[in-house]
Amino acid sequence: MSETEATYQLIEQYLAGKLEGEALASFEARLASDPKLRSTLALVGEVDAVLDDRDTMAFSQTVAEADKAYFVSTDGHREETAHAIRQKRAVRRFPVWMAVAASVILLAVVGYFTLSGGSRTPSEIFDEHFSSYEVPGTFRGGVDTAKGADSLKMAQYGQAFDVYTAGAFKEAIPLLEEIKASYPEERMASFYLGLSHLELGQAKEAIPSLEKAGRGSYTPFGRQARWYLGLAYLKNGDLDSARTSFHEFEYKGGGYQKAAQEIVKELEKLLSDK
Amino acid sequence: MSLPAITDIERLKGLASNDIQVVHRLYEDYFPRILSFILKNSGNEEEARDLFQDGLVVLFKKAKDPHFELKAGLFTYLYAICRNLWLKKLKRFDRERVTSGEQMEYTINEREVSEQMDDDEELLHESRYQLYRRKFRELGEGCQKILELSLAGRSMEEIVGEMNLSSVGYARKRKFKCKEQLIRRIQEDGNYGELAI
Repeated sequence: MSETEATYQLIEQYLAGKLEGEALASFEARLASDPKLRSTLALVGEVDAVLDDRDTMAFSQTVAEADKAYFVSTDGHREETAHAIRQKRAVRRFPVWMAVAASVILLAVVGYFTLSGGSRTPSEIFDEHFSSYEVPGTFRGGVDTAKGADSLKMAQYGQAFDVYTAGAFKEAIPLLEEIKASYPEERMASFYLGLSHLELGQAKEAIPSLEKAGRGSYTPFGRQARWYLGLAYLKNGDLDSARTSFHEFEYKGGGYQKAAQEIVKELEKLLSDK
Repeated sequence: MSLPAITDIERLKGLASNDIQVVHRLYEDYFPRILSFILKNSGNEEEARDLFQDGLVVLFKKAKDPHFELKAGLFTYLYAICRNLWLKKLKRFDRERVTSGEQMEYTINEREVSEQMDDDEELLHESRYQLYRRKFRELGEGCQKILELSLAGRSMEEIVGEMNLSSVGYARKRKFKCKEQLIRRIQEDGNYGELAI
């Protein structure tokens, strides 16, 4: 047995209260004169206690899995989308006999859905899945420009978000446009500008702002912006773009996955009906 | 967001029962705002991810406490945890806060959360414990299992049987190697120095 292994054994026995007599006295004498040993003892004791907390260990594992699902879906978005588009194009190249067979099947499917009540409209699907997104906290600042641009920008956000929270989206729009004009790189202004338009049913106007807010992987609100962008395409009747947008959320987990799968299922029905 | 509304009480209950769907929702609803704060205060995405996980674990422990009563909104509380943790780390790590024109700061009602907030040092302890848990998860499955069984009080003979190992001597050696690996990885982590006991 190596010296390190022997030391770890002694640490374990000491922490378990199993060292006695001369062995205990000898170990305690070592501790008194060896700061590194004291540090290792403290660390091992603390690590054992943490690992022994089974509930918190299990929860920590859950959080790690949720973290992975959230970021894998964000990272994989563009690559998956490009792949999905290539797959779609490949499927279109098929021989005549397959086209005939596909038409027969299509007629049967359309007939089935017609008899069973038919597909919902994009607007109906949008209405089910759209809900408001809260503002991020409280913003307070002053109009005193001597305090710097930060303070002024905070005041502008504060004013815009007060109005947004009150549901006055028509009034929020010019305030958010002003922030966007003064600070062109502000993703948050673009995001809430897009949301304000969507709240008013103005999907076409919402799209450019949500596209801007949704660019990039690790940007605040980026994932949320891409979700609402999908809804905006849906509301605007651009089903292909909506399908592409929701693909990010379809298989990669996260809170949007179930809703994305439901929407995609309905979109594919609508696209096949066309 | 476009998902069924969920109340703060439901979120807390979900946390206490280790419901992964609730944790997914917390990521969707809250992470962007925490990320925004960290990015604008000398941090990066990886640090924001670690901090958010630390904050959720603190929240979990509160949720399990039968005497805990949420007096502020859940996001307000979580944001305060993460902010306090981050500012404490910045101070310890001697890092400057960003003071460019892009800096923003969310304000919260301090009074709403301060009386419920753990002492800052306690929050740092939780960050340290999270480091231990992360390093444990980085170990191989065999190492994780042998350490878990040992902590659960299984004898070496029982561990040999359960893990189909060749002998008690081998099991003892394997356990020591795994423990040493874990301790070394913790001590070698860049964050450990600032969080150390």
